[in-house]
Amino acid sequence: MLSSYLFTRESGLTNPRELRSAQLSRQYSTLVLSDKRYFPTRHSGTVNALAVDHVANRYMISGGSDSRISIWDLNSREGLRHRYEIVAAIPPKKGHKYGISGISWWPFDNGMFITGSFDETIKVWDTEALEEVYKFEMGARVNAHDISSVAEHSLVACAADYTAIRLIDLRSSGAAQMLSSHEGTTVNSIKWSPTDPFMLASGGSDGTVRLWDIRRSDACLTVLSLENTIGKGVFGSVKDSNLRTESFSSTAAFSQVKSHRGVVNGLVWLENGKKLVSTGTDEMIRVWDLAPPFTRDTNTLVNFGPLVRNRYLQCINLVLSPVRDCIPQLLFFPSDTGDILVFQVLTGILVRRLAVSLNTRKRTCGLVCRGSEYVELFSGNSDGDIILWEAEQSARMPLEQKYTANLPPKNILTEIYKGLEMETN
Amino acid sequence: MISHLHALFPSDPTFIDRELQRVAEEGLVRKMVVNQNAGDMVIESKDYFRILREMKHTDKASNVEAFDKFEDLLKSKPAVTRLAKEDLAEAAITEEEGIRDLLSVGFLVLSGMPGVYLISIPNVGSFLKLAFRTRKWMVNILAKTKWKEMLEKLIHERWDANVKARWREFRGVRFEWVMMEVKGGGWCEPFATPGGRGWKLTGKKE
Repeated sequence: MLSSYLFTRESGLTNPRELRSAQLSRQYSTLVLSDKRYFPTRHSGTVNALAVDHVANRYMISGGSDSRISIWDLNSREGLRHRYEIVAAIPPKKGHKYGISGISWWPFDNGMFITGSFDETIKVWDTEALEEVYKFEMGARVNAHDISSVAEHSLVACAADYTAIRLIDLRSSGAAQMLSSHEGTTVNSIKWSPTDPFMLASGGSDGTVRLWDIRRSDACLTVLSLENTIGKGVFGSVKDSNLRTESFSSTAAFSQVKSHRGVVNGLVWLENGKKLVSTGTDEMIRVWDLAPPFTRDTNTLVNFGPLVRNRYLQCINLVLSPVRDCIPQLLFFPSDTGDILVFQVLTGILVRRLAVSLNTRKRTCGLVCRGSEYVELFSGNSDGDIILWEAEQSARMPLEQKYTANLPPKNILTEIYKGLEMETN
Repeated sequence: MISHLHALFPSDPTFIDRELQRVAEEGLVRKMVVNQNAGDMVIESKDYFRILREMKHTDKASNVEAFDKFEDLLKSKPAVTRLAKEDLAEAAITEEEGIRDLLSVGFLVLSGMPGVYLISIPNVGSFLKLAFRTRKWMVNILAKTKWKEMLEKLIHERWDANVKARWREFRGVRFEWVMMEVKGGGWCEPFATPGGRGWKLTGKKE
């Protein structure tokens, strides 16, 4: 099948990108535990956070519950052993006092990275000097943080054990804004929109996913309701007191709107900014359609099946495969049972289960895709190991090589000789 | 229960959710969510309204018009699973007259929130209890084994023994019903072995 792509590419019938995404999709569908490349064990606790830099897709930071931070060079090779090397490391207790909940690279270059920790601080580090440049005391355990990769404002949004979301401005190195609307005691996950520099999504212990526009004075745009399915909608904003819906008409009932029947602890936006994937401790993953204007955010009713396990309050790193590489796009979900479940995002079909080991105690916490061009998935588990998942050997072979591999080897000289022989005979 | 539907179509659970939503909006089917932990229930609308009409004429219902108004209200809002007091008031079903009757017969059920009622059906409690107990039985049987798995043949034998022992609870429940519920709800997973099908726990907790 893929060889027909080669022919159509040569004849110009199809876009060469189609062949590329077909091949990469096939590689993604054969992800296995890497047998050649490995990470030496460094962390003694769970590896909570993994982040690959946006510029070169070469350096990965890992942060764990032992408060150790390590920066790895993903291009490293050590002779025949293919062991990943550490480029820089911050020993335990020196950086943060308690475990690290999230790490993100500064989106525009490799010079800075930001870490959020359970010791109630967010720190900004200089990569060259490996020193902390800023420290922000949040006053509550930081569950998750995010920085926008499309914005000109350098605001870090922080989700903590506190009802309001705090925005920190890195330019003025001070607190910028506080977004309050969540009704529970904690906010557990937070992500900036990949297309709109002012839009934010957050999930909290009140079971709601809220969308915010930070330019507005009453910033909360809407609450995603799981009962708004395709066909109906909850109209208006949260503050609209003339709310009339088909499900319930009183505002008292509306304030009970929920996105999940549990704590919302994982969020990820699709790259086009139009859909949002959320997961909660009700063990469901939901895909939301955020069509403009914000009067019809619908639950697209994609069902990811009964194998999703999500019971702990810790922020779940939902990871999507790079958008143009893998069609249909895949969602990697670290389940509580220790497997990583691979689903097709828009249909909910389970494609693969990546099992770390038969011992199901090893839960996967940190998860990150290396980026476009690479079919590599890194996962950090509760034993402190970081694992590489890559495409199977046979799928990785360059396509042209495979195409001609089955043909008998041609030796031009013998053929000419044979041809001459036949002529003389 | 919805879990039985999911067990019948294991390869495409999204299809079930979306189809149910579509069919509910068309009025062919009534969805009921009486207990969020227990799961969603589904009943064909024609059966639901037949039961509603039959129960209209029992002793508990002193107010027959309220039931008619309720039927009209439900038909006007086909995909709704709960009603607020205001919605009922719009259909002229007030506290004293209609709501109390509907509650006592069992077509409305109190929810945790004041002023909001859940649409239900009489004797829903016994149905849910049955589903819960059968599922709990199967999960317990598997939990007692070392690897949390067992051959289907063995579980079937134990089920037959269970039906005889606790016949007041379980008489009439077919083993296939239990298997479907447990698979569709995600509590157990079937797998193939040389000795037939086996079941193992997925780890889903209460």
